[in-house]
Amino acid sequence: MNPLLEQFLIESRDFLQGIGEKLIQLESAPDDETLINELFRLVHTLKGNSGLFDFPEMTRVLHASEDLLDTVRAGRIAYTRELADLLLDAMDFVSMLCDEIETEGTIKLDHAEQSSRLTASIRELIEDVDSGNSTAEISESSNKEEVQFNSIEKLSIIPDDIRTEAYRMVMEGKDIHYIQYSPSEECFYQGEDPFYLVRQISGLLWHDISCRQPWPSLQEMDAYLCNLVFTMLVACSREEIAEHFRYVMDQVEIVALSSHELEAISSGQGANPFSSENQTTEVAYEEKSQRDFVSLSDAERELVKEIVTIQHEILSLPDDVEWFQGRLKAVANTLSACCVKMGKKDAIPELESSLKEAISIYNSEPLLAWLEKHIMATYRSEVKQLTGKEVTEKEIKDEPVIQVSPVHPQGCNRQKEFVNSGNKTTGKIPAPRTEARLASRILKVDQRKIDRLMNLIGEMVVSKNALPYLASKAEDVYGIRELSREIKSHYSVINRIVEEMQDAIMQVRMVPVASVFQRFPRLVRDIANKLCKEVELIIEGEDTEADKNIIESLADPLIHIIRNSLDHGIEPPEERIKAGKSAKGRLIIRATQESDRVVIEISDDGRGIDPAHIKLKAYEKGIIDEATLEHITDQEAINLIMAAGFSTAETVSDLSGRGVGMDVVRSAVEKVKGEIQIASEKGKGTRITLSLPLSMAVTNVMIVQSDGRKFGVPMDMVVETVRVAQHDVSAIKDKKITVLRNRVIPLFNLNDLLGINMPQRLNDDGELAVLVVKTYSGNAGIVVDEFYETTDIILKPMEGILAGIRAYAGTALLGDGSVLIVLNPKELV
Amino acid sequence: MAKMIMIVDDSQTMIMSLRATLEMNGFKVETAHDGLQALNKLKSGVKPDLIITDINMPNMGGIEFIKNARTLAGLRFTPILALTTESQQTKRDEAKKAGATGWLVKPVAGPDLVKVIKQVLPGA
Repeated sequence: MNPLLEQFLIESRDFLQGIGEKLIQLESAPDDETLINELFRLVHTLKGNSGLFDFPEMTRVLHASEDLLDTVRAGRIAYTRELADLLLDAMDFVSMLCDEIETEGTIKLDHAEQSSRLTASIRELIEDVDSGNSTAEISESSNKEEVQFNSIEKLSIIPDDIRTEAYRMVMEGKDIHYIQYSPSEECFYQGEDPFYLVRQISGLLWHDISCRQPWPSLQEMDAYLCNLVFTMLVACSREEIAEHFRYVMDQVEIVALSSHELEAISSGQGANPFSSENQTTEVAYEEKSQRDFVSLSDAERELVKEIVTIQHEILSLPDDVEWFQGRLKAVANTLSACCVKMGKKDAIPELESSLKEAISIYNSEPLLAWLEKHIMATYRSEVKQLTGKEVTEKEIKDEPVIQVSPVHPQGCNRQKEFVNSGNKTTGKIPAPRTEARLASRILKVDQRKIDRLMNLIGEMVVSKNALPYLASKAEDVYGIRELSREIKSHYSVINRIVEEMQDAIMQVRMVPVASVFQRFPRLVRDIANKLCKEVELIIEGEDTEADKNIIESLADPLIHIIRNSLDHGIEPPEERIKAGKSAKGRLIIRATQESDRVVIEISDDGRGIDPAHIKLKAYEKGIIDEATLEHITDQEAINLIMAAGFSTAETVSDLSGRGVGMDVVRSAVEKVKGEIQIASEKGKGTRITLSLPLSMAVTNVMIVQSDGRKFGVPMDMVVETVRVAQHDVSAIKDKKITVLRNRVIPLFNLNDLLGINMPQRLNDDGELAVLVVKTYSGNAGIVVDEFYETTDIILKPMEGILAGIRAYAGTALLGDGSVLIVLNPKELV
Repeated sequence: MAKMIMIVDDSQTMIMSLRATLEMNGFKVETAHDGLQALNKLKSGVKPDLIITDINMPNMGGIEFIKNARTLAGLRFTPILALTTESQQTKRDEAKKAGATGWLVKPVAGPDLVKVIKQVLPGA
């Protein structure tokens, strides 16, 4: 599976869990806004993620759920139980899809129907409230874009050749649009770059930049406010334009141009775009301006003078700046434009040569000389008293300003940097710390990695056990006592470290029982709703920790017990009231830690278990015989509900009658070496207690020998070891038995059980070695050849095809490097 | 110099997917799982050339994050894209008002993402 999908699944599970919890919480607090928002956020994110993959069934349902929650959030629809049911169903569906994706890698086709059904029922809820609004929105938005093109004359500023080209393209059937884009004044603050945006559009034929408002004087101008208006002629479709400007659509006017419009403008101006008269118009324009210099208004003439004077000032500035060349070119351009205006076109060639010279010698002098000769001289008389003084004064004034200004910003920057770095040092110390703390609080690790670590430490435990063997070998075989002692002392050090390490790794695997308990509120709610019972669920000790495997193996038995409690234990409200109880039943799930075991208690205040009823049922089903029926105690009778094939419910209900009874619970609990106890009082309630080991990493086994082979037997199944004289063994039919403390114990030869064709060996006194073990049907004796010591091992389950052989619990590596096969006596006998 | 893009999203899946596309296209990627963490990173001197942020996040949502980010020195002109879904027209407007440059619609396909980034990030 690709890592992205894997990540998606992991995260989705988390989200689904959160969504489920929030939905339940909302039921008791339907007006909690933060809860609804949180819920919306989770569904929204989940939906967004699912969109990354091609799971339309999932996305569709999530999308509808999101929309529904949005309407809830907006207060247009109330949060009801039906709504919650529907959403829970939807989430269950998504969760199911997640499982399928994980196992199959994809979603099977046949879920499409369920998906659309769920979507439809969710949408139905929304549409009830929503039908009116959406249509209004649409009409509003469609109307916004239709801006009438009221400024056809604007087209006239487009150069003729481009217009001709555009006309041709329209005739060829291409889309030509006229766009006017007026960025908002604040656009720079939103990270926009209008000029860049304009230049990026495809099919740009022509563009022009003008100002929205007349430019204010430089002193007043705020360079950070955008005062530009961009006009463009582009050859691309409206959709492309809308896509390109989608972030600023409200600032853009788009007008489709027809050939007619383009033609109309052209003829309106008197120029025919088909004849290439544009050059003559240009000439005419120049001639006009030349002729008109004299007729320039006084104000205009003043303006020209002003411009020229400014150029003079610029040229008088110090030359030692990087942008010197650009400055000269700019000045020359301005001056040449002024020349045109003033009708001094003949001075332009000389201006150009002065410019070249100025650039080559890196000095403004040649240009200044030109300015003096061609323009200033003509002005001299008038300009002298007017600007002459100013020029010199300004020169003096400006010099320091200009010299300072390049320094100043740098100084500012430096200062800023300094301030920044100051911030950094002061701000950095607490910041990473808090961040590190937040980040390190929880680390999600693939379970396989931890399992690997567990395996490694297991092997370490075993291989460190080789050291005592080595020590005794050093002494016994090689006769070096010193070395033996040194190995032993070294061993104690390694032993301590390894044990600590094992403990630490075991800690990593510890998870709070909350991970299982958190599903219960939902479960209890659903079941109670279905059974029309009122139940209050109390969960205590969620923080209690145990090994992940144990916790996980607990989930199913616990669910079963809860189902039983709700189905058989807690009575319907009427019956409860009749019995003098409150209408609402109470189910308490409590986890506590007692030394090295986790104890989970599930108690209800329901009708309890009736021992008499159980006895009768058990007798009817042939689980107990008549004799047992007579003398069985009430507690023993209650324990009978865990016997295989026992189910007391009169009618098999949808919930608990699924063909499995408490015997499944018992075997599941025993599988993780746990114990189960039931206590019940008729009419008062039932309490089921599960006691489980904190961890199952280390198994204590007794080593026995048969036919020269060593086997392990888990100590928690061993009752006792006895030596039985051969004459104490008798036979009933073909079965061997012995009587131990007045109880009959069936005997089995281990060699027979394992299919080894050998009789069991007797010891020197002619006695058999009998290992008494617990089995499903009481105690049984397994006859072996010899008993040995008990030892701690890391039990590794059988793998592959061997996993199917139930008689073996697994294998373990012994300290001397040999492999020990561990038996499972319960399955063996 | 590779341009640096900061992704702010509470979903690791989304981050993974965006990161893959961005890194393939030669961008450096910085991530944060909510607005608060992103803001802290920005304050501690991380200087992205572009920020892509989810809207719905715990602790600090995208809108608030954009608002706060715009007040930081050096981030006033940084393009910020909001990650939205097609159903969130109002969110888009809100984000825009808060100072977002634009938005991306989830799920973002690789080529679209690069196209949009090229559009808002001069020189990318």
